[in-house]
Amino acid sequence: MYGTYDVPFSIKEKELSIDVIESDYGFVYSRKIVDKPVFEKIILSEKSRILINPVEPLNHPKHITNYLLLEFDKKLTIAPHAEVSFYTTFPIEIGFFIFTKQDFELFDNISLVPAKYSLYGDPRIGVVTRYHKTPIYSEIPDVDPLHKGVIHLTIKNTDSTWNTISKFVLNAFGMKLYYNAGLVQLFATMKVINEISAETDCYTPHSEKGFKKAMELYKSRKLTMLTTKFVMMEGI
Amino acid sequence: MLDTIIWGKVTLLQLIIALSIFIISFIVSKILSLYIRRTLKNKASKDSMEVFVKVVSYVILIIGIIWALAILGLKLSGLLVAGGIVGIIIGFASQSIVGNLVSGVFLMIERPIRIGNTVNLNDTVGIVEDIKIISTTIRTFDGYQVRIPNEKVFTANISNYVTNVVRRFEYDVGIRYNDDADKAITIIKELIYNEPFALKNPEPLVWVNKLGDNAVNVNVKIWAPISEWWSLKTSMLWRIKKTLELQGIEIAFPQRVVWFGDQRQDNDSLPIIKPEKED
Repeated sequence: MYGTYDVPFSIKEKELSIDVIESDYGFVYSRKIVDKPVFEKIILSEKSRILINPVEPLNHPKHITNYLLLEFDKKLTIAPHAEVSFYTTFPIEIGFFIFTKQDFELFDNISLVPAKYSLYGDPRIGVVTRYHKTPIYSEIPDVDPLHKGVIHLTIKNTDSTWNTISKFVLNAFGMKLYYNAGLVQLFATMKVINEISAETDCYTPHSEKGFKKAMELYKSRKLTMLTTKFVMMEGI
Repeated sequence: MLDTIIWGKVTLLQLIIALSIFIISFIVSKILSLYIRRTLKNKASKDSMEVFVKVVSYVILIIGIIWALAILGLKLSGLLVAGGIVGIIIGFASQSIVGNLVSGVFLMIERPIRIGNTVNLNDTVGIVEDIKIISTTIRTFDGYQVRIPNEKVFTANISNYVTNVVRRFEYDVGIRYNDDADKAITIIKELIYNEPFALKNPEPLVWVNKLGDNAVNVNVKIWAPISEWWSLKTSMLWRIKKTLELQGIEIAFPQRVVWFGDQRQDNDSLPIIKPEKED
């Protein structure tokens, strides 16, 4: 489903179908998700293109946080100064961007995965996060690209003691998603500082042949990026 | 014409220049405030931005006033000496203003409340609209504005409902004694699990906390992000009630069962009251 489409067009994949049909005043965009009401919008333009790509999972049902918390289903214990890489999953949302020669704009944004939020830290200084529980995998897991993506996570223990990790918090401003027809992926690192703190960040891989970089939501909102990192100070 | 002396040694030209400086400093402070607001719109919180805007505009205004006074021949050092008695009189007259001003400064330093916070200030509940140097403005939930002098704000008991990022609410759900409380707890927990804004952590709590006169009381405690707290609190209870009823569990209401003494077949523990023999 991901890709760029010239209006009018119609596509359907699993529980989601999109129809953009011509009308007297332009085009009518209609989005249908099984068991949910139909959403319609009118495009007042003679010619435009729509880009459908995965976006940061932090906007549905409402944008209340910039952080994604992944909880591992089993705790991980890492040796002093060790560096390990593995895969985890994360929920994704689907962004619909409308393009003309002059400008682009986020047009619609949906999620096919039910959201859940959680607090990281204590109520006074913590942050609200989008919550997702995931196992870890040694190889890229088979996931539905409309629902979940895969994080290539590298954890480095910079401490001289063994440390236990149960969660991982990512800042949305750094999330750079790469996608093709069958996979959405993200590359992230976690630098363990000590038993309660770590620094997390996303990075751009050297080469990702066959993958396109997704248009990010913060970019479409034209916000100034502050930092892509997150320092976990309230436990790891 | 411009050399005409208006008062003391002050000429009309000096007065015009002084007035112009004052007006220009006022305009500059307004333009700079607008510029700062526009520049920092997406980069700083509204509260910090407003404090910064105020500091900048007050500094420009004060510089303008001092400059204008200097052109009129009034030196601040002279004012300090000459203004002795006048100062005392003004001091007494403006005691409360100075009190409010000092409190305003301390409010900006300590920051127990910020612009946009939902607060309760001595039973005035609402959203802080503005914290000025003399007074604080609150918009109540009924939609009217309350202006409170800063001295009162500073000495008031302040409840700030949005200081923390999350907040808890609770319900008591009374079910009938013949309903299964374990099943009710499972249903409520599932409902909470499926609600995105009912936080996973801190964990919600659902438990039987009281065996009441008429109902088994199930206590439900849920944490929610501060921005969603009110809408969740106002919607969740009715959803719990409807879901429980769909599953055959009903909300109890006060009732009293009256047993008659000769109803031994219903309850063996009841004493039999024998009717007195008639002669």
